[in-house]
This record gives sequence, structure tokens and C-alpha cells, in this order.
Amino acid sequence: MPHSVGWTLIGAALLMVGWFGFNAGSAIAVGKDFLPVAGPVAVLAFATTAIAGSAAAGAWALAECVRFGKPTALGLASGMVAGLVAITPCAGHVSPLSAIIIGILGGLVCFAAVQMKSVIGYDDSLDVVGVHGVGGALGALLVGVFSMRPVMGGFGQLMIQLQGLLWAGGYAFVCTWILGMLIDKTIGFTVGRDTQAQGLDIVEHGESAYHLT
Amino acid sequence: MMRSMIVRSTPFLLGACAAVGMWSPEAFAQAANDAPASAGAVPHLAGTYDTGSIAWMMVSTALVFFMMPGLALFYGGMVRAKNLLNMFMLVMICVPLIAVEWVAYGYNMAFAVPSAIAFDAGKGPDGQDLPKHSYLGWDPGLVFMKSFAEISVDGPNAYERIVTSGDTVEAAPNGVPELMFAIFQMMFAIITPALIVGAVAERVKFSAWCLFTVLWATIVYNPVCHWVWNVNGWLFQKACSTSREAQWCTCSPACRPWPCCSSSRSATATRARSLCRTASAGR
Repeated sequence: MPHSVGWTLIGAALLMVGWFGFNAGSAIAVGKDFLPVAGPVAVLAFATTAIAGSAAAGAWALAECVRFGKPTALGLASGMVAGLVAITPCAGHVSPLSAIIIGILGGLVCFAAVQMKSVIGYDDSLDVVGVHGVGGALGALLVGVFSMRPVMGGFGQLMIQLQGLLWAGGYAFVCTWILGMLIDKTIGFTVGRDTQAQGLDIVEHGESAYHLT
Repeated sequence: MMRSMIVRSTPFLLGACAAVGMWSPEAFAQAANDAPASAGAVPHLAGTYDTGSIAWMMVSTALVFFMMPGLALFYGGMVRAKNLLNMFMLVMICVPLIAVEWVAYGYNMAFAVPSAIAFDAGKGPDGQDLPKHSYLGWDPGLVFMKSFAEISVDGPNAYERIVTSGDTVEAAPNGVPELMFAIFQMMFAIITPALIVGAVAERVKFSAWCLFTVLWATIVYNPVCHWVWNVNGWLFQKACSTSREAQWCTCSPACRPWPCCSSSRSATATRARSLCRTASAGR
């Protein structure tokens, strides 16, 4: 249960600020001497990051309007992050128009994915699977569709992306499962019910975020 | 039941994180797109710094670090008030843990040019041996980033190596010292496990999380990072060899061995399977 949606909004905004460095910085250089490589890539990544994040926030809010009747602040923040996640693999490769499409798709698909949580019934406190997992996978695939440089998107590139996605995701899935099981069997991964009821702040850190009288 | 589901859900996340940031043709794309400029003719290829790019990389690195408090607030607002500090702690504990891990051996595993585990990739369409597929990197000179301490102020550049676009060898030297690249990548390594926190929020034991973070970075992040972003990585190679425009990476190892980050440069140079862009015909 969100205790402070305002913080979540601020956090999402800070994430977007940082994301410019995340994506545009991945070009590693910006000098004009390196045309046609680094300069345009950094700028393109910067632009598409801004575009997709914005488009996705709107798409998510709109989806909420259609589905539930009201747009929520939490949805706006989640949508923004979903769009940023989706554009990250694509940032240096797609046109601004494609960035809008990727952003909207990211917002809508992740919104649907988050709604699926209660249907499938897995435990995921803050919808990381729906937003980051589905959004990231979607972006990794869409770069194979919308890429305009250095290779044009198409079925061939899509298959390459899918292959990379499955291998990286599969390896990560298996290793994380094993690691999680090992930790759970040895020192225990989760806290008990009593601790959860009391709150982790007090039990784990001996502090409290708020002192309300 | 629910608890074990948590553990089961983390892998998704992890797949997500790995796929999100990593599977992108950006790195090889830039290298492939770069014109085969003759080394030495252009200032930046002669090993001089590009001040603008370095400045941008410093800012970018700080910006990526700025995502940490952003993430803490983003997740923190979504948990109950009694778990807020724990949420912040779970996110921010990744900074000290992974920063040390990255300097000690993380960067080495992910971005070292010499390969610790590699397999033959077979032959290309023209009968030429394809570069080996590397699964993990290791260079003794990079342990605790020793090589970056060997500064020769009289050299063309203080840190010897100038990095390329998204990888550490060959490709397009762009005037950014590799140490800058290493620290930029460190921020990525830090924020990736922090993203996982959202899936286990309000449930995970703090000590277990610390252990998980370090182990996960070691057995999942570093190898996958190597596959996708290192020029020798097998997924990187796969994308190269199947991309028509990226023939640069399928040339013979004889051309231009890259001097590696190691105290014995000549020895590592022979080990480095160089991916030579200049030899790709017709570009």
C-alpha cells in the first residue's frame, strides 16, 4: 500500500533526470570529431529518452482512464518509468517518431502486465516484473523492429534480439533462482510474519522514518 | 508459499534488468559505423583526450548515480510507512557493496579483453575462423584496477588506454580514458541489483539481501555484461557476425593486437584476440 505517492512521483522524476545520463552517456563520447558516430548517438539517445518517457506516462494515465475511470499519480509515475525502461535498449537507434510509438507501447503493455499480476498470482511487491521485466523485454525486441542505424530493423534483427533476450533472461532466471534458493535454505531470504507486521524499520535498523504522536 | 514466490519472482527481474540495459547493438554499431580512419591522422586517434566527451561522461556518471536516490524515493513512496527506511537502505546498500566488488573484480570479469572462458565459434561464410565466443573475461592486471594506477605522464595519454564506444578494445577510440568508462559502468552495476529491490520489498531480510546483491552481481551481472558489452562477448559477436554492416569484427586476429591493461603489455597483447576494424574490406 503506497504510503506517500508524492515521493514516488518525485522519485520517478529524479529517475528520468538520471536516465539522460544513463542512455546518452552510453554513447561514451559527444565530440564532433567523431561524426557520424558518437555525437549524433548521444543526442539521439537523449532525445528519444525524453520522448518515450513522456509518451509512456501519458499512455499509462490514459489506459487507467479507460479501464478505471480515473488517472492516478502512481500510474503516471509507473508509466514514465515503463517508457524509460522500454526506450533504453532502443535509445541510440530509433527515430523520434519511433520513440513515441515505443513509449506508448511500453506504457500500455506494462499497464496490462501489471494488471496480470493478480491473475497469475506471483508475489511482486512493487510491480518490478510488470514494469521493468516486461518493459525491458519489450524494448529489447522493439529495437529489432524500429532500428534505423546502423542496421535497419526487420525480422532478421528481431530474431537476433529475441535470441539475446532469451539467453540473457534465461541464464539470469536460472542463476537467480538457484541463488535465491541457496540463500533461503541457509540464512533465510525473508523475514517472518511477526517482523512484517511490526515493520522492517524497527526490527532491522532500529529506526523509524516517521514519529507521529 | 508466498515467500518462496518472492524468490521465484526475482529471476524475472533479473532477466529484465539484464535484457533492458544490455541487449542493444549500440556498442558494435558505433564501432561498425565509424569510418576506417587512419590511426594517427586524426588527433583523437593519436591518443589525445577529448575534453568535451570526458566532461560529458563525468556528468553522465553522476546522473546515473543520481538515479539511486530517485529509485529509493520511487520505491519508498510505494511501501508502507513502517518499511520506508528499510526500502532506502536496501537500495543504497548496493552502492558500497557493488562499488567495491566492481573495483576488485567486477570490471575485470565484465570488460577484460583476455578471456577466461571461450569457445570456438566455427567458421564464417568465407571459411575464415570466426573470433572465439567469450563467456567471461579475466586480466590479472585489472584486479583492483591495478593497471589504472600505472600512469605514465609522459605518454600520449595518462591512462594509456583510451576507450572506445561502449567496449574496451579497438573500435573507435574516442578520447575518453578507460578509467572513466570503468566508473561509468560501475554505476550501471550498482543500479541493476537495486532495481531488484522492488520485487522483494517489505519481505526480505537485510543480511540476506546484502549477500544476494554481491553474489548476484558476481554470477549473473558480470557474465551477462561480458556477453553483451565486451567486444569478445559471445552475444556481441553473434550480433556482429549476423549483421551485414558489422563485418569488422570477423577479421583475422593477426591485425593490430590491442595493448591490454596489464603490467606486461606485450604478453597480454598476444592474448588479446583483436577485432580489427581496419582490415574489413570495402569500407
